[in-house]
Amino acid sequence: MYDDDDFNDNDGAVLDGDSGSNEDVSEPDIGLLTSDDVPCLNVFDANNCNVFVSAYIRPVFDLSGSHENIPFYSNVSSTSLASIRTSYFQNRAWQASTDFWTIYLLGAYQFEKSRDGDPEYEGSIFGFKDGPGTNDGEGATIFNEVGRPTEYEHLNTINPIDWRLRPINRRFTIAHEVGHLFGGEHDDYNPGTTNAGVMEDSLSRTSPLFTDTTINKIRGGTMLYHP
Amino acid sequence: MNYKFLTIATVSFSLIFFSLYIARTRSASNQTLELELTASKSSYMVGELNSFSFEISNRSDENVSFANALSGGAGYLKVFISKDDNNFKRYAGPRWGKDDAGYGVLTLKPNESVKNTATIFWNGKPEISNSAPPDVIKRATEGKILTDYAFPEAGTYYVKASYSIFFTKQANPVLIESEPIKVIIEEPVGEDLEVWNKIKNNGDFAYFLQEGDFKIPSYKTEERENLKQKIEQIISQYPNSFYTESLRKSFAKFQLSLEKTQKFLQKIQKEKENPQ
Repeated sequence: MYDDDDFNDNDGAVLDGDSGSNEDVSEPDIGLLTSDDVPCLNVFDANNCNVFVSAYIRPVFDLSGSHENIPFYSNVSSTSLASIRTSYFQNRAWQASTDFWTIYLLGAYQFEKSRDGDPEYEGSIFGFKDGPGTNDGEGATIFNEVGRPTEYEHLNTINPIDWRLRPINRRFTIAHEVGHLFGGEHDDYNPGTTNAGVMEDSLSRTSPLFTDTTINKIRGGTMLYHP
Repeated sequence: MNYKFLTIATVSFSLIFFSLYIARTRSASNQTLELELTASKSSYMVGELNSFSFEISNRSDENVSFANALSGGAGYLKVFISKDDNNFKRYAGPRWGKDDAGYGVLTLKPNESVKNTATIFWNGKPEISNSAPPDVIKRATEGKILTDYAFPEAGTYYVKASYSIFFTKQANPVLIESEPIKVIIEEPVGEDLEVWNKIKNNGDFAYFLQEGDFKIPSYKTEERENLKQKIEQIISQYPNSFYTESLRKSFAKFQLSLEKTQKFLQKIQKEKENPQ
């Protein structure tokens, strides 16, 4: 993928795409979705593990085929996102089976101007599940570049004082959006608790793990259409 | 004896001071910001698009800074609806609570306020299989509105909002809640009633009216075509209906979006054929 976000040549530190020697978008951080059965620990720097282990899901990444480089589209509307996906990632449902879920991690684009995290900053979206309801989505989109001050990446501890200093980790967003695809919600609390784990909203998230409530939704597959 | 009295007195004074501190703290955090909910009208026709305002005002005498996330997508703003001013159920608009996003800090000076508006219309009811275990069904549906329309029939409704405020330099949010407001939903008559009867049991119409888009995923081409035909049929059969104007507006928005998508697809196709 190519990044052309440096509209004003400011090489600003806020934008990940400006920070490297070239303008490529960095690879998605799949540190919580590794294709082995190592469970993740309940620590903020959890990495190289599979957050879906307890739902018996093993992520497999198999999209390196004919589209290794996708042009980077800036200021893309939410309706156009689906067009990009269907155009470039035609192997959706390629592994469709009634026995298991297949998750395709498709890529990153820059969202519409008001929420793309560019210098004319107004807001930023890390990712969202397509579709309005619980089970009608065609997928989720992860915006791999925007809205993540790079200094947050280096914080590995939870800051109890100020939500602004909490790390907002790329790998958390991917797990979070996949959780949404299975009907996971921001209030997926276990009975008697008030923390939804990785499904918690971005400002209050303090755990990289799914709660049993979300895991049961994933295991049951009761809130998702099979494509 | 004196020591004992001193100890008891110290504990008592400590408890009094602690209680006063708690009361003061609670009072301060509750009174700092106020959330007010208002409707654009006091009554709407059932199935009529509405508009509600959510206004947060700083009632303290100091500047207050907090996360600027006053939208449904963020998930910190919640709306609850009741028919008896008591048993409130949570509303879920399009993409409400689905964004994973970063938020800037908003600072309100004393008596300053910030406002946002939203349409409370289509409701994303939990769509869960009947074959799911009862406890899973209960957990997925509890406390939520289970109809496609937020106001599914004529009558009197009570609406209130809550907002989780993330003050800067605080780890956990503070919840504020608006006073409930009364909204009257009126019954249509004649031709309008005929149209309402055609659309009231289908959430796809509600979503289309609100968003000018189809809720049905794009890979379900046949279902989308069927819905399109039904909409066109209503527009041509009931050109003067109360609902037809909204359907026309949504249809125009939908067509425009289709055209934009087609142009975008053509651009992608060109780039594929002539890669740089």
